[in-house]
Amino acid sequence: MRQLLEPATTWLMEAKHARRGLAVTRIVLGLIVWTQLLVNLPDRHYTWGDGTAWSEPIRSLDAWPSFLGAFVAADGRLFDLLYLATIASGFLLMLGWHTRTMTAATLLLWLSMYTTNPFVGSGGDAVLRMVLLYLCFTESGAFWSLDARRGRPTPRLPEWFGTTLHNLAVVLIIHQVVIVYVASALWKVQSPVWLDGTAVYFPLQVEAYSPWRDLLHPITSAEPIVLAATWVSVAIQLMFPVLLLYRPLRAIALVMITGMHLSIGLAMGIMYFSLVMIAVDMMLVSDVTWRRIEHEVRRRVGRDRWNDGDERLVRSATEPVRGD
Amino acid sequence: MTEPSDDTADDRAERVPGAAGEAAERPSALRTAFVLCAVLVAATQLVFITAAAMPPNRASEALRPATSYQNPFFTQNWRLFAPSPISSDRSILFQAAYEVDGELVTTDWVDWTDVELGAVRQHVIGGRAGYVTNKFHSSLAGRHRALSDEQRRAVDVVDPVATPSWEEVEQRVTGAGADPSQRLRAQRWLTYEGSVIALGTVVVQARHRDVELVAVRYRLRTQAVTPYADRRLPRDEREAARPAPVERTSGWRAALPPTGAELDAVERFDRRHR
Repeated sequence: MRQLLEPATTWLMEAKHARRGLAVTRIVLGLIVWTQLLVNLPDRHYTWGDGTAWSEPIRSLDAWPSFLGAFVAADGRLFDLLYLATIASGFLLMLGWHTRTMTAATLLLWLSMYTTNPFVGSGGDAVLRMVLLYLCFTESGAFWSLDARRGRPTPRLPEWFGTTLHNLAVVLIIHQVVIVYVASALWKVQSPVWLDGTAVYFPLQVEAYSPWRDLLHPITSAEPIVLAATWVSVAIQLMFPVLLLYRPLRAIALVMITGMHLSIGLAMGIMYFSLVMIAVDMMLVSDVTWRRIEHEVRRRVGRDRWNDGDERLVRSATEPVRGD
Repeated sequence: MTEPSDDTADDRAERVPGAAGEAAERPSALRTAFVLCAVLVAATQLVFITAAAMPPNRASEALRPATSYQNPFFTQNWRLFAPSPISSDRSILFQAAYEVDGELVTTDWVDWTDVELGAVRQHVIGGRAGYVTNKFHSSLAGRHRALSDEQRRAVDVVDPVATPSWEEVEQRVTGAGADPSQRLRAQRWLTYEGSVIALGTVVVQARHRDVELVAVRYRLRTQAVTPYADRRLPRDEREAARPAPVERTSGWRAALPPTGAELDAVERFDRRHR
């Protein structure tokens, strides 16, 4: 028993895992929040503001706590101020400025806005809010953030305390993303259209989810493509947790699932839903890989700068990267 | 994303300063108790989330009372394309009646879903408002299906002159031979009916600001997409091969006047996407 527990305890308490992956997740989630609100800026009052008063009876059926009522109570300019505050908090979360505080502020503001209209939310919003909550317990600002540039503050609590919470939050995030895929696949295999390989065809014919109209029709009506897309998407979702266990297969799984999300997002015009899933998947890429990517980017950027005559940057790029 | 080297190299690089030294020490009782509690909470969450997310099975049914704490924050509903993907266009249309010289005049139907789709049509990154009535449609249809035939007949008012008050609608639908469970369904239907009529009132009022609406009704339209077998036909023939739309028109209900701010917000949206 001791032999089983010791590696688990060591994994849990000795080192914070996936900090670079979490940084990427944080950056993309922050980007999703503030850019999405900018895209929706002209329609904000109809989507989440005064124009949602008609949905009040249905909204009251949901059991959201009253402290999330800021957007519901706000109208006119106060609503606009809260909306701008949400954009700002998402932007600062992306930059990693007072990361933990901004994570909590983004979660609170986003959720308060989300609850104003029961018919605007999507599966992506559900994943976003859960992951933001878990991110509050992690050190997602340890890399590629303004916090990281300022240096590491002296921790007020014992190190093991933060490390344990960080790693448990990592487990919960990974579990959540795995559950999304596996549960979705198990629901799908109960339907004949997924089993006969035609399922992908149907949503692409629905007006709300076909922004390309007939442009993509030659592709979306080709039987081999429809068949492959239908079966591969179910297989990859169903097998996702198994594929994560073996490193070479993990890379293949991540490439395929990211490709699937990009295809869905672009073809169906639901890019933000796809981006949320991609953001969370990115924390499954190991920190060693992220470090290599960072190193490569620095080297390439340095080389370009060097070509422009800035030798100093080349030197800094060849130095060991932070955290090595 | 490939990973040729051993993962432990990763962990060594990220080790918390001082953690190795701490690990060598005997853990304090406080630390042990905290870690055990944290692990227990996380493990419970893992089990309950798994149970709530899976399709119905014996284990998840047994755990259902314990998983109710997840709603609404941790609600596990991953069924956008499952079990069967969306395969029909769904629209909500509104019509209203107003009085002119003692006579009731009805407006044209307003296809509000079509207006909302203006926010997403030909946009790879569209507005979130583009799907509001698309999602509302299935909730409304579900609430109506839950009513008994007798309840449906009781509130099916086809003449705007005979529009009942909301109190009358409630009495009719909850009193129409309804047992307690049917009354509960009727109350839920009434909530959704009130919301859709409030939306219909503000939508039609935004286009007819100079009249006072007295009654509103809505129509749910569903049209399946072109069958898979006909997908290779030319565009016009594919459209013709679609099954005929299925429509349900509600009874007339008393209008629910909006606030000025709500009216302005809807009018601006209508102008932008019409």
